[in-house]
Amino acid sequence: MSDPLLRLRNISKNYRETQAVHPLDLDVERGDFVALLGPSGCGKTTLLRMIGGFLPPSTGTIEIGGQDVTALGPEKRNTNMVFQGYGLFPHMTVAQNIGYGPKIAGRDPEQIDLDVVRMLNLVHLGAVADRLPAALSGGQQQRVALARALVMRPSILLLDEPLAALDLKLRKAMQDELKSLHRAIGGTFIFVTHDQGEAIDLANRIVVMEAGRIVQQGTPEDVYRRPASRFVASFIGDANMLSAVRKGGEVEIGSGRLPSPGPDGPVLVVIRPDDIALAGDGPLTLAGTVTESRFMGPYLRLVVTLADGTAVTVHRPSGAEGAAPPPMGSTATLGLPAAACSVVAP
Amino acid sequence: MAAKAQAAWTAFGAAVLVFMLSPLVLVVFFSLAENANATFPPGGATLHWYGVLFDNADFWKALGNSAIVTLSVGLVSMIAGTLAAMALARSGPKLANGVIALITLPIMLPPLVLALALATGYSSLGLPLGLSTVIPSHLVFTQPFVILVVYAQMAGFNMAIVDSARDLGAGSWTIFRTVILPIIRPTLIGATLMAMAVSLDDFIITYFTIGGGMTLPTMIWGMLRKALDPSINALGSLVLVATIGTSLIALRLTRYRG
Repeated sequence: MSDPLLRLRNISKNYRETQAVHPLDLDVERGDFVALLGPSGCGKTTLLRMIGGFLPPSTGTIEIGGQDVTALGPEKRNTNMVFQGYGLFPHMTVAQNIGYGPKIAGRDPEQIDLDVVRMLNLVHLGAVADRLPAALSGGQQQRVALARALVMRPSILLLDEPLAALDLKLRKAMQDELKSLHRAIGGTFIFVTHDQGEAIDLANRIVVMEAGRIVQQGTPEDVYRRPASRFVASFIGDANMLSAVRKGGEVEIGSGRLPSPGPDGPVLVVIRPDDIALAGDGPLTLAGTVTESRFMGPYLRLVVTLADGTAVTVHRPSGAEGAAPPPMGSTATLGLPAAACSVVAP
Repeated sequence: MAAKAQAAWTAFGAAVLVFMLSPLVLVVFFSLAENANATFPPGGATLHWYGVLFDNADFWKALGNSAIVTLSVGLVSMIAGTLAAMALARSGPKLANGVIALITLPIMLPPLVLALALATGYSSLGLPLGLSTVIPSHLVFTQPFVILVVYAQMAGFNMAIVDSARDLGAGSWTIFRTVILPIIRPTLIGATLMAMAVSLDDFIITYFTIGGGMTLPTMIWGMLRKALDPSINALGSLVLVATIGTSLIALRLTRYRG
């Protein structure tokens, strides 16, 4: 790996008895769009606030661009944050909000005006430059917060649940806007979210957190296709988890065996509903009865109940090959591609 | 029957209102009436008693003292109250509520007890009574108003705003000057005016702690003991207008939630 832009080493945070973040390491490369993903209380916001300088870590060091910034407050770090409640200055116009940082930094007033106009155009707010934040919609306020942070040309832009306050439709639009912004300015973005769909859609790297620890990190495809634990598998997307037993480096599942190095004992085989073939003829098959069949729009959701009572969910494209869905009560042989199976601890 | 009861209650309410407000009206009324005994019949309208008041050297001395006390109390209440409120807002709500209960104790106490305690305190410390003892005494019961009002706003203050300013490079003083102060300014002015109105009005605590001097309320008291001169009514009217005026401005400003 080359020199990472952000390097966390042994970072932790504890409040009296509670350990919000256990000691962890994290590297973020220049140009990354990273999602810190996890349920509420997993320590993701605490981690973001430590990166931004709002919370001093209990242990460890934070380096940005090779410089140790652990002891520096947010006003001295080249990071900028978009806060969950936006934190816009209610007594300043949109343009004054955006110009606040450059003004504090003592930039040349003419240059500030130019920068503000440039940012207003970037986030499509030119028409409301002279309005107060209270007169803006949620989506517009969000964009002001973005512009206000971006005008500082941060080496890392931090976003705390940036889209949580927006309704679904606006959220989709802002996701697209964030992505194109990231492409346009080529910066490094780190955002916190509890929405796995948002993380998969926006990020090129997902860091999954659980109870103050990083439990997996990788590309969206990595964490989706190859979840490292039961938690990751259930938190991201739909997953079937089949109980099995590992013996001598192999897991016995249905009709076949799956090579899986590791200690003997009970395990879970994780497979996504869209990876299962309905008419299986491979080495790994499971036989069961179709007990549920629902039309979900783009796909059909089938539930196949195995002999031992395990319910397996299968998705198949609803427009596929004109084949009618198997009728309820019919038997089905499910094919599990070995490459799509992950074996995790139960 | 119901209509009759309704009418009776309305009449009762009106009677209570008249009983409560008529003395105030009478003070203003007699200050403008010719009758030197402030009784009916009032005689013609005149500004004579205001003239008598303005010719009284004691009035100007009392007015000056009241101005010094009120303005000092306002200024100190505002600055110290804001600082205290901000510190409380930063500490946890548990500690803040405890401290607030403690500092509001003086306004819960009967003023007489507080006045007695202050007077005893000063004399046991050997401090000579005068304006320098009146001002801190007033602060004891005006300060809580300012702290309460400003704390109420600071406790609900969107801290993301402060964090944003820090994030954009502002230091503590710059944040206060450019962000916090402009947002809380109306509240601050309103709370200060309230403190000043309470201070301007105060009689008991001033009377116990001023020694030989006088402020407007203690002067009125002194004049009342001699004779019921309508120039007292003129003075009362002036205090009334000043107090109601500042209170109205204060209420208007503190209701502002920009």
